[in-house]
Amino acid sequence: MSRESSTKTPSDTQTGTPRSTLVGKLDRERRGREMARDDALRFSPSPLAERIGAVGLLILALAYGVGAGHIDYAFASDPLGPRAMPLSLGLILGVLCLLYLRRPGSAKPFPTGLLLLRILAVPAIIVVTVFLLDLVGFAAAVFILTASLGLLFGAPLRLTLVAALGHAVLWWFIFVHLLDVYLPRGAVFG
Amino acid sequence: MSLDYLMHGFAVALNVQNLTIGFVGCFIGTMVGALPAIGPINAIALLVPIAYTMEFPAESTMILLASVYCGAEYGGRISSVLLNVPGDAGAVMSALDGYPLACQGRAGEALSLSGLSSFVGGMVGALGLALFAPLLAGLATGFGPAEYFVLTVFAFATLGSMLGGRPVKTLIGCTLGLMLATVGLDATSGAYRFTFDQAELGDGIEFVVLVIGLFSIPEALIMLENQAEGLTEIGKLGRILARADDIRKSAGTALRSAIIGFVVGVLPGTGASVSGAIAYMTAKRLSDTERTFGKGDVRGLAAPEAANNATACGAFAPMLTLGVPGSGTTAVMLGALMLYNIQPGPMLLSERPELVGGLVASLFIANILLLILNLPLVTLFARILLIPNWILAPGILVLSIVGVYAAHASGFSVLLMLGIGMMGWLLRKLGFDMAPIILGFVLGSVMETNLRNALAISGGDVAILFASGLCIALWLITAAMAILPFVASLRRYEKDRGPKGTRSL
Repeated sequence: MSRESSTKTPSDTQTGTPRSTLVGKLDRERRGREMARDDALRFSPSPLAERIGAVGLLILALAYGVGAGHIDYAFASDPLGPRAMPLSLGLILGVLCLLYLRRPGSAKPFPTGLLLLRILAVPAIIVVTVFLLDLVGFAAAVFILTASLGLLFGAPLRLTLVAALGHAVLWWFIFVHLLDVYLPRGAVFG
Repeated sequence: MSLDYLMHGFAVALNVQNLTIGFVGCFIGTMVGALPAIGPINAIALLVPIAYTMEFPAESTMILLASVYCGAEYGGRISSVLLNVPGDAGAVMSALDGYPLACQGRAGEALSLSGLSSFVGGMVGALGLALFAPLLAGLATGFGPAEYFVLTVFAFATLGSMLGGRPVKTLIGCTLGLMLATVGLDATSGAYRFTFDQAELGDGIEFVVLVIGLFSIPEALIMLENQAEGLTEIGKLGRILARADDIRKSAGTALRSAIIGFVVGVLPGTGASVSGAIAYMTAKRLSDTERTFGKGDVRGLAAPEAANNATACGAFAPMLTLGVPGSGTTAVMLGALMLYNIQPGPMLLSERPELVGGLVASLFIANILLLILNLPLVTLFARILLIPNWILAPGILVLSIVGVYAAHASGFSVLLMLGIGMMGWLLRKLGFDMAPIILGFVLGSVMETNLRNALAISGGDVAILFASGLCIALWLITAAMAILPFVASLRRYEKDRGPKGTRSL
């Protein structure tokens, strides 16, 4: 680091870069390194991820192939029938997965810890919203969805609530009044 | 060859309703193109159910989607130039010279020049499509089930060979798409396949559910992962009109790249990202005598921009005339046509000239509108980049849920979309592209039906797949496409080995 700065300082001085800019630059570099370290903690590098993915797909290929073998049909007006294509696809996927397993690439790092929980919270919120749709109606469900997602994204509470209200009003107006799409009004509102 | 269909098309595209729809599409397209998080496929996937629910006629829906597609190719350059982050896949190469230009304080000029290049590309592409579509349709009228089957194999081979260094992943994606297409009732035998006794799956997985699930849910999750609140400020654009010198310097490159882009677009399965790369490398090889490419050379910016817009237009040719999409986005549009019970193919041009002509004419109009919109309003579009993720991602999810819910008014579809979305997210993390899955899905029934019809005609004799001259020609091109990546990697290997060998001597 000291060598890096010592090699940079003369050239910066030569080009007339003010010292404050240089300090700012070094500060940015330091912050960049800290962020990279935080990222390393947040995202665990996953050399195994692709192998696990390939095995998962291989199991899918097997299950699909077995399922294809059990397709019931009374007659087929063509020589192939309804099983041939799925059986071949199961086989092709199996072979491709073996090739993939042999030479896995470099998957993007998977999130872990709190970030993973936050990501998994998104589908959970959507499921809750779907179940709430008929009960509380579209506008209220959108408010709940967008407010909870906003908080999940780390936005400030007050801004999130204002934005969620905006979302609810905007989408209700666009879909129900402008586009005439049928959306539930909500059982609780009669 | 008759271009009457085009005249008919202009009459359709220039009526007030369709012109308004085209204008709205161009505006939405540029916006979504500019946002790195949303690409044309996402936007089109979200718009399909809305257009369908609004009972737009098929040609108006196509005009809307085509305008969005073209607009996104224009918009993609904005974040490439300003942030070094491509707004969509087609604009990846635009960042190489666009961003250095912005760093030199010439962002406005770069945006204006790339807007003009996009216009050249778009117009050449639309002209190529207008002339080429009837030819291709004429050729394809001789296609029987066997030829169609081989054509779909060709589409997959092209996709596998063009998507660079990961053909296995691309082919796995295609296979997954084909597998998803087998879900539901098999019309020939009456058998239910992979429906798990769910009545909702009887008609198969809805296209809208799949496409929104695969593109919108993973996008929102990845936005959450990246967390960035977005930008808080954008640098000054400087002069917003390109210099005459730069226009003169890059005109030839733009024109040549547009032609390359169109040809790549016509190949089934290849998209704008491939054509941008080919056009950039060609321009670099031919024009980079002073080694200025990558350091802010206007020709390095003009090449990919012209190419990706021409590709977007070219990709319509195989979709409209053969029923085989030329890119991921046209695959979604093919699915949209299927919602209207329209199966694109060689007869579409003669049966629905207003649809094909309207779409082609709307591409010309969209390019003119986009040029008018993009030159003066570029500052406005650049400001869209300031929308924070915590507003954008919930908005995308609301649109996704409404899009799926509105079509069926059933929670099952939304949950299915969510399940597909989570699968898509996992696959994206593993480095899979979603476009091959969509391509596999839309081609799945075409492939299976034609194979089974061909074998029914021949009484089970597979020789029918090699019987006609067209079939043999298609097999040969398919084989060439499949071998191409191996030859390329062998050449790279030998090239790498050469200097080492010399050093060791």
